[in-house]
Amino acid sequence: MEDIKLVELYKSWDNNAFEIIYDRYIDKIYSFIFHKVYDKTITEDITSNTFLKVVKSLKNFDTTKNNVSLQSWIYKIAYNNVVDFYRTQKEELWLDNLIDDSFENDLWSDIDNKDKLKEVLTYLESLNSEHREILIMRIWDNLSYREIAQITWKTEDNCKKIVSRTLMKINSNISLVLLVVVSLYI
Amino acid sequence: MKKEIREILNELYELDSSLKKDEKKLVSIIEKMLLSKPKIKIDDGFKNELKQEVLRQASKNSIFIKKDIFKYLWVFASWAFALALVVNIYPNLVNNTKVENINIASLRTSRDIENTSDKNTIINFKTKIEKVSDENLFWDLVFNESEQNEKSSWIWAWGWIWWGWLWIAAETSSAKIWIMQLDPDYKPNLYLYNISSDIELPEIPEKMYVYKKTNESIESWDINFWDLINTDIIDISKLRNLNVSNINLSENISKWYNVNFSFKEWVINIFRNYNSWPEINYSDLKQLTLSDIPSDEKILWVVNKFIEKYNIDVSLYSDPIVDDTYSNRYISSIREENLYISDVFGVTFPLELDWVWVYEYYGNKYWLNASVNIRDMAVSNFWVIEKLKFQWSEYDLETSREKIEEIALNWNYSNKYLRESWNYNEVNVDLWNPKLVYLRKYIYNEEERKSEEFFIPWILFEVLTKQDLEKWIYPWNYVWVPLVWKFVDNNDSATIMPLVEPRIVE
Repeated sequence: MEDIKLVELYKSWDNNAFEIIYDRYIDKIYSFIFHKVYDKTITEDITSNTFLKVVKSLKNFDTTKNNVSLQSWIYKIAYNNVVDFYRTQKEELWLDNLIDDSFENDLWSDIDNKDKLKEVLTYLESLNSEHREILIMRIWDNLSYREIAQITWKTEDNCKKIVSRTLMKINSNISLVLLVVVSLYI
Repeated sequence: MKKEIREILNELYELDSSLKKDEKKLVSIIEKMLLSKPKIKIDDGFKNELKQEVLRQASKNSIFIKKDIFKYLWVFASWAFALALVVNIYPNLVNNTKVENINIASLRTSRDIENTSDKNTIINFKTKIEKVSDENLFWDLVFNESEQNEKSSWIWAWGWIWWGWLWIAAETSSAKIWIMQLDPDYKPNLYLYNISSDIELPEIPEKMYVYKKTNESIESWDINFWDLINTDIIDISKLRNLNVSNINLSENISKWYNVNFSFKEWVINIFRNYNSWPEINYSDLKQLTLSDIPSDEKILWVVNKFIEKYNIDVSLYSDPIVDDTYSNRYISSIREENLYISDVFGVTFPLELDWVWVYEYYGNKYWLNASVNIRDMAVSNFWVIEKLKFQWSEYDLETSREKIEEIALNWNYSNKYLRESWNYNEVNVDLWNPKLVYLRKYIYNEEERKSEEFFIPWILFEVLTKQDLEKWIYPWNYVWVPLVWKFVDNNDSATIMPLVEPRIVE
């Protein structure tokens, strides 16, 4: 059943519709948040806050206004909650430390990719945080540029430019690393 | 090549076909990212627990009946009917004693200002000013010796001078003018504020909606309560087209709340009745200190309890926040012995329009408001519970970053009052965290001769002072820049351009 139909049913006091919405988005939103905070406890807190806000506000959600999809709206709430979380942090969270901690928590189901992930995260860490998030939203969260634009309050074109420039920057960083490695051996 | 990678590449090539030459490298990076995508394991226990909780909330919402003021109509009709009966029957039960008429005119008193023998009146204001020279503004002001003991007036006047609004302070209650001499050895710390910002502005869309709040017309009401009322005191039937515009209800218990329903404004205000609370003799009360201010969590707990008790629907709004304006002032104030801590702290339930926060000009988020009296930790007011209704229209926004930054960086009145001959300290003020917000603003409609409430996109910068100021803080916490010029009026122009320097009255 389409999201619009589910929202209409929920607004007509059909709570089963919300159950379907929850099942549809819980994994995606959990992953989306985890890709930003890399901590199980924090992810669970933010995910809980997100869905509690969704259930409070869904009756007032208007699918026709600004052509915003339910998915974008829920992601937007999650995104804002993550932003609020970061505002309360006094120290910057270092990604590689977080990854190590979360591996100890046995959160990852595929340990083999740990090294690959660390390598990719090394590239990502050098990027502007906003650009990094947009890149992750496109490649890991598989959100469309339209949805990313609605979540981050940017234009679609701008989001595409950010992704292309970010990929080129990663590419040049990799080349630079290789150059340094090669030069050490010469 | 995977379909996913092809899709991402095609999107990028649509934007910039020159990227095709780096296709191999792009594929390698994207592939690496996709392969290393963390496969997250969500804890089933957490997932099920959260599901139960949100479904429980969903059930709770469905039981709560949405506020629709018309549903209370019959309650009001019953009250009005009961009132009509009382008004009609009661006079017949009381003795018909006539009351003598009082001559209202004789109760009027008048104050003859012109007969005052005090020469230092407002009327002589101009004469006093002529004695003050332009160059030695601060040093030639003479303090009236007979009033040296009145420190509060002295401080107050000094504040006025610093702002440059008046060269001399006027003590209006006694119609006297104070001309102040400062200690010649006292050198005020004056500040020249250099504002800078190297923060990247947020992305500004080309167009956005501007909202205007509208009210339900009370002409849609088809109820005439006054048909039910018949009284000998006044002939109600002579009043035409009466409608109920406002109803006030009070709890009939020892500590009550009043609830005022305004049908014109679509607002419900709840406020406690001070007559019924224990009478407070403020002079006996201990002055509150910083340590008496409860934590935000405690204040919010009080408000949430109130909401739960009266089942107030706050679902339209975001989580409540305690207004920290006063707290920040207390913390930065240097005169702790004169510090006045308010009994009442404000809590706001902010609203987002199109996912953009609504702010007021003072820099605080806006909408639903509650006050908590911290002496007895009880809600003293809860207001602006209303049915929200808007009209909207799309406008082009100012997108020139140069112009926005220019306005922000020149936002500063105080520099205009400083003279080169004065000693002043330079203070670097950083603007940061620029936000795209909706500013709540009243604009006067000349045609309809009324003020209307609008919500207009503006950029809000927070102010961050780098230096610690020993005696004075930078007077503004926020800097505002408009994005829709059509809605900038005279009230804003002073903030967009510096104030004109005041001149001495001749």
